Amino acid sequence: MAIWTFDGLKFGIKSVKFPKENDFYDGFYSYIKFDADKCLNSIRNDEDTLDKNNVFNANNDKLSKLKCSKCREVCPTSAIDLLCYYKAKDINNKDIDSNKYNNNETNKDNSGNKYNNNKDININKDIDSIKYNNDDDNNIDYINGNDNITVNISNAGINNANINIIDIKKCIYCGLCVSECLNISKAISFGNYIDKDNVGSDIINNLKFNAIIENFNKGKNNIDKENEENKNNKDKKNDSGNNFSNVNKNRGKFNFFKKSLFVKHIDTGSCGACELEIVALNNPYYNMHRLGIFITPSPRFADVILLTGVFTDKMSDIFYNVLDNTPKPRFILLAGACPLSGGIWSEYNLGFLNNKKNSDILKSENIILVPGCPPNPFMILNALLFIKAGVLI
Amino acid sequence: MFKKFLGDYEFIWGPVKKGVCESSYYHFLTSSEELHELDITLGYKTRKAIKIAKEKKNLYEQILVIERIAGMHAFSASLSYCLAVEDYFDLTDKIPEYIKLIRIFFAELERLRNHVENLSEISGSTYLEVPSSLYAYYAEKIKQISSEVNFSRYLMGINTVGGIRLNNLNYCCIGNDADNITINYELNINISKDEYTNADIYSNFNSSNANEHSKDILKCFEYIIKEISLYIDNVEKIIKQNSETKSHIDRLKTTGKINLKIAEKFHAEGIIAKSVGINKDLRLKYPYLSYKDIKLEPVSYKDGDALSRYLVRIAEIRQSFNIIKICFEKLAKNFPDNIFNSIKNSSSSLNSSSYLNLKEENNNENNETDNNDKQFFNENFKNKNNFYELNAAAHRNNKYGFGFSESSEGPIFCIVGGFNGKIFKKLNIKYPFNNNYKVFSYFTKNTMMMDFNINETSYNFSVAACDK
Repeated sequence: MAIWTFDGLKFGIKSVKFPKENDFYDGFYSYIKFDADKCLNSIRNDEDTLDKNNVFNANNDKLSKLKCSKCREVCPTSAIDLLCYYKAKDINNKDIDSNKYNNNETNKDNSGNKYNNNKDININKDIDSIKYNNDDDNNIDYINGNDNITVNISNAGINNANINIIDIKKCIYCGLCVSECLNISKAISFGNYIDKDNVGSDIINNLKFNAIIENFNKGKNNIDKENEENKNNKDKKNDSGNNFSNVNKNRGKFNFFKKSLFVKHIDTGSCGACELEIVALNNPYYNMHRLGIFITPSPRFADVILLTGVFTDKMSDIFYNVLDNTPKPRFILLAGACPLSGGIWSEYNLGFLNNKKNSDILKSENIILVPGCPPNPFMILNALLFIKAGVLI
Repeated sequence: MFKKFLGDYEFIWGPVKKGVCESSYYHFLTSSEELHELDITLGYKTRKAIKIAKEKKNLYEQILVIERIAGMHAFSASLSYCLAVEDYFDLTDKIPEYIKLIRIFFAELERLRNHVENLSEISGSTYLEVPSSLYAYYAEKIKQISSEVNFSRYLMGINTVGGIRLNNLNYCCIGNDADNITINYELNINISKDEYTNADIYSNFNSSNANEHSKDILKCFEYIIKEISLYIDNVEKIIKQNSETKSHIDRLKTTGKINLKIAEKFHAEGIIAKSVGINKDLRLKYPYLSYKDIKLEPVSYKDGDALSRYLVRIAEIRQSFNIIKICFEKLAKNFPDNIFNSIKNSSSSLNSSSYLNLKEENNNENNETDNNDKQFFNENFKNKNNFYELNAAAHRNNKYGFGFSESSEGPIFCIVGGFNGKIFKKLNIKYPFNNNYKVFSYFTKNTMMMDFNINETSYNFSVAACDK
């Protein structure tokens, strides 16, 4: 907690680091796990079915040759892409497979110090090279690659290869795939809540991956030409993929907001649950004020626009009006599955990201995604804190 | 436009408001302090919910849509849909007792949470910041328990047609074995259609060692009650302190008064009706599930203030907490030792052949029921009671299923019809807020502008439910 004295703030700056080691929040966070080892499609003995020759066939043939695709059939928002197995399997070197089992054992023992192991770093580099190869085939996949669930980082070598299976933009956490897979192989499951004993670097890293920045216009070559604002923004995807260990921290820093952060909320067609979660940030439990984040009535004082709900036509003009009135170093934070992909409403509304009207905004603005249906207040707070601290992921 | 006099001015409180709230459009006519006219327009966030629900593939996907129309009332809305579907297939008598009790348990939990959350808003509107944040803290705690047990903070994904999804319940984490979720219950009776045959009803179950884990499920409910009883004790203390502060109660007294006659004209529902003295509680009048066995006393006050609405909410918190306790006691008695066997017994009566026979019988009896329904409809048409109208409309020709449930703010009705083999092509759901908005806009005329916030929070609207 921050302590204020007559002289000023004493320990306030330290309290911005969140969650601290001494902060224990029990039972607040639930997410979907995907253990790639357990899935029937990735068992090593079945490599004959996943040969390279099969990959070049049509998609329907691929799906028919999968051992089990029940989670894909059940999913109401089509968030599960099992075809990613093929993409991963093609490029996966045998070296990773050989190291796979060794790493599991080491990570279980030393989960806190995992990044000190030399083996892991080597594997991460390999995966980066793999990812880079992937991009040449499909740029779109590359953009989507960061948005997916990376849950067990202790198994980083394996799961990063199969990272694209559950698309977190579309997932509404209904749990149908979980209940379907419990009968078969228990590969997908809901995550545990966090205990005092459980808080480690793994979980903190997991939380960080849930806030994602999207910069569509930035390639590696164009960085020098851009303005200072955009220069300071970090394009993490191009450099490091999903691996937190490889992030060069100095590159990602920007100094837009040195002091308190002001948020303006707009509702563009949500169910009301997202609003309740944002209101919950003012609880004594989360207590957003102590971290220097406030909700403002007017967009002219706002640094962040917090948008919830599917992007309806009636609210779209009002949103542009609000956007024009906000001063320029600004962020747009999209909360919930609705603005990201439309969620369960995806028949008629594809959300903020897929709307054709927003093509100019997506290029110029800094956009941060917070998935979930509804997103946990902790996830929203975490994303806001990263904006405030000046480090994106 | 409004009639203006000297000194009157009008202003707009647009869809984007101060703070965090849903988008709706208010048009005021005031003379400094007094509010003369109010015009409310909604419809900024229509998502075409029912049109989308009709195009889904599954019955369960329809439930997912209906849960997400209004997040606050997710459980009670999905329950009204499930009851409607069960009414369509004549399953209402065949559902076992313990599933009904579990449904009541979660429905009352939702009501309790919404009321505690609303108390925080009301005390915040009278600028008592400390009690409002304390109320909000305990509402947050209740949400966390539901996320711990059910993995969703708003009780989404529990209801299914004919049962309850226990796959999502995290009962094993509360017990001794934290990591081993060894079995999978599916208590729900799935309704699906093969491509070549007609609609079949069958039940899925895969389990082993069911005896051991049936007690663990009970532990989960026991854990919820233990935690909530602690919170309720603390909430009672805050209520007591608030009732002693005169400034708080003086603000609430005589603000937003409602007439009984005009409230009846507008068909006020839920807590607004109870605050005037109209008793419309569906749990008492037309008991669904197993509310018959639980003795409930009607909660009603006569004044129609914000204070009486506040008192109704407090009384309902106590009432629903008692119901949760009773539910658990009954569950402990009624809960089958072996869930696996109990499903078998119940499902034996739900064979496909029996269902098809029922359908044929219904077709033969259509002419008879038509006449009965017309009489039934004509008799009750004069009263203009919502329930009779909807019920009669639903059961005409036996083509429709009709379900209802009492949410925290009022009744939610659901009509279902035109079974396609996969989904219902005719579907509609009605929330109480459409009626209550009219009551609100009528009775805010000639009140003080300062009381508007108190008035609005005591009604506790959800705009999303109106803008389906």
